Amino acid sequence: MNGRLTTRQRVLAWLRAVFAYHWGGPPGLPGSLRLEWRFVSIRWVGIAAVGPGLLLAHLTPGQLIDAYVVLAIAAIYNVVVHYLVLHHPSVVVSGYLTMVGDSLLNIAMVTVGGGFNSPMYYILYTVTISAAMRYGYAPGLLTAGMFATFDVVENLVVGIPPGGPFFFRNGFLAITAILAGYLREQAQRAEGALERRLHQANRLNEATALLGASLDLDDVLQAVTNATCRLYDGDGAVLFPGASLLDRDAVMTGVRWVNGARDPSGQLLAELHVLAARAGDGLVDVGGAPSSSSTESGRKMYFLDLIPPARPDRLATLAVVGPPNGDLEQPDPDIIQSFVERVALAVEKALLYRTLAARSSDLQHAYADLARAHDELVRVDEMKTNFLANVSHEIRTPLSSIRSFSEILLTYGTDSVVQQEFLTIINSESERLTRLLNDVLDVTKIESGRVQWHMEALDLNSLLAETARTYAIQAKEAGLTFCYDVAAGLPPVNGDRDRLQQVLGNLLNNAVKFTREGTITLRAALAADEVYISVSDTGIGIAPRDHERIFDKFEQVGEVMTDKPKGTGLGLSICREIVDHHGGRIWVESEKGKGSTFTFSLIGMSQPREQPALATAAVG
Amino acid sequence: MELVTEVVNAGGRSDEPLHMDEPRRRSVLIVDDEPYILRALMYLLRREGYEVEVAADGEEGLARAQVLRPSVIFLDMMMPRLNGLQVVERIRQDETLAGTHVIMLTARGQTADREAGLRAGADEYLTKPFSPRDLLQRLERHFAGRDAASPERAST
Repeated sequence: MNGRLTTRQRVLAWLRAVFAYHWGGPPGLPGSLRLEWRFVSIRWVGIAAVGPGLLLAHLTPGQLIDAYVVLAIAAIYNVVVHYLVLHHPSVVVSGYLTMVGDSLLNIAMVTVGGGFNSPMYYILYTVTISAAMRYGYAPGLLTAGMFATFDVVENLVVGIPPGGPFFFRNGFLAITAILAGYLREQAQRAEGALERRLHQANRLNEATALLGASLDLDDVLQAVTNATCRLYDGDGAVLFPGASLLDRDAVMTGVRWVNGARDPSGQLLAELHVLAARAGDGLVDVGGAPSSSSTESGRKMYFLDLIPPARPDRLATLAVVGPPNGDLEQPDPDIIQSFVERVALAVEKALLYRTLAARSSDLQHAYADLARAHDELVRVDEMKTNFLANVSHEIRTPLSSIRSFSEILLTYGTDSVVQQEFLTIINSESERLTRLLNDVLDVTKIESGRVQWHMEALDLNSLLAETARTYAIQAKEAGLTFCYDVAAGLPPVNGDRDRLQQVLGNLLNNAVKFTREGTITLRAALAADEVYISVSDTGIGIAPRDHERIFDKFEQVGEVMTDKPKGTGLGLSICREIVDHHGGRIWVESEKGKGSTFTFSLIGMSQPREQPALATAAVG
Repeated sequence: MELVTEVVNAGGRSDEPLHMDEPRRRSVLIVDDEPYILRALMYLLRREGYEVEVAADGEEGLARAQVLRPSVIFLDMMMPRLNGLQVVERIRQDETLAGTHVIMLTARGQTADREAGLRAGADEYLTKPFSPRDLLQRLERHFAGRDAASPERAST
């Protein structure tokens, strides 16, 4: 059972293969030759059918021999056509060669088989039908006309004028040709419609494939414009953003696309640029625009509203521009619908992505701000801890002396000389403690911004002279020379008198403290619009690596002369804060063992004439 | 009152070298950059009969310690050149100074500072301001303990 079935299947498969070969042709056969190929097969079927059929046609032996000769010629002819289809396709591709050949062979067969009045005439129907179906009305009617001509010729040869049977058979032949031609036309129309659909579907796929390339809104809008242009096969397209897109921040307006190959001069690009820009300004309201209109250069424009399927608000309107003198073939409505859905989805996705990206960026910024604030807090906290530790250390040191000496005095009494010495130390250390506490308060006040600055227009010459008087005496007492070198007519500065005096006092005090012998010099000069005030000494000097460090809090460097009370380590730090507040700078130039020069700059008020006005402004 | 003056005067000769071959001596080296602290301790300790030497910074203090080999060293923490921690570390590395009693005497009073001092090798840690009486008592306790721990030495 199985074996028999298998054999049957094998036979069926073989038959199917044979049929497929003869119907479809060998692999690689061009579509234009398929029809010729099929007719080679059909001819063999015809020859195979007519061969035994002739025996039934009541022909005389002579006629029969002639008919088989014609059949043999037809077989040879079919072999030649088969050869030509495979090896010289250009000869047969038009179809006229075989049409004429088929007609002549069939006429020959009809003539040999008993003439146009015999039943052999029916053979001619096959030729006419095939001609009409292969090549249309005209070739079909042409074949029919050729047969009629031969019919007439035969009638004339026989001597009978064409009568009723002649008109009947040839008229019917013509009608058959027309019907076959009509069938062909219908088939072609269906095929064309299918092809067009396929073409549109391909274009839809190509166009929508452009949409997925990016999530960036600008890129997506550009891709949408490009895709719409492709879908319509237009020369260019412009996107007019709708209200819901324009609401978004920074949505790109003036998106356009031009098929470069069709606009070599760039004229269309320029035109669309203007159009898009005007739409971006809101000058062109394209909402609810007519389905078509035209550009300034007269090209037809086709509008497509981009409305998401689920929501009524229009995302954008796209305008596709057609060729300079002609129409665009619009895609079928369902294709457009499908396109709009996909485009709307892509645009909404990009909008969502943009929102998410913005939110993520906000979060990142917030995080960075928090991290910075945290770092700042940690730094401030560290500074506070260090400051407290330093203050504590600096307070404990003089306190330690005071406690030790007072306890020694209380416990041991001692003689009056030692008492005197110890009491002097206790007194000096209390003073140091007081100074320290004052400086600490000063620093914390300045740093926390709780200082009341009394800014006013100051006459530097009088301020410097006044300060110099005090310290000249102090320097003389220490056995030092005091030199006053201040330029006359310095411009006024906007400053706090007491605070600037504090800076000067600090610098002069240091100079006296760190100089055993030599000169203290107070200088002031104007350079450009800045006044440079400096205090020089011939004291112990400062190593270059310490030039910046000495302005830090609690930094004391080098040897402090042991017979002088120690500083608080805050003086120069306070000086820097005060000078900074006046918009100036303070720095030191010094070499170890060769003295130091501390200089600070103040910005002079440029015009002495404007002084009163500025002073009022500063005070007010 | 007169006695006090005598003692002060007797101890005033700070250049006199200490006797290095005398293990029972009560020699003290004070290292501090604060002159008043040096003055106060010198007065106090000499008055109690200790041999006292002073140094004004870490480097000088270490050099003096290596020459004098004192029994006890008072060491400030914040000093120019070598700080107190560095000095005590070097003392602990020096075998000739083995057994030296090091007392940190500093204005840095935080727990972390105390721990750092003891970890570096200090035996005691006193913070300023200190009570002179308390300081003397500690010193007394130290020497009493030392003398009791080596009676045969004490007898020689």
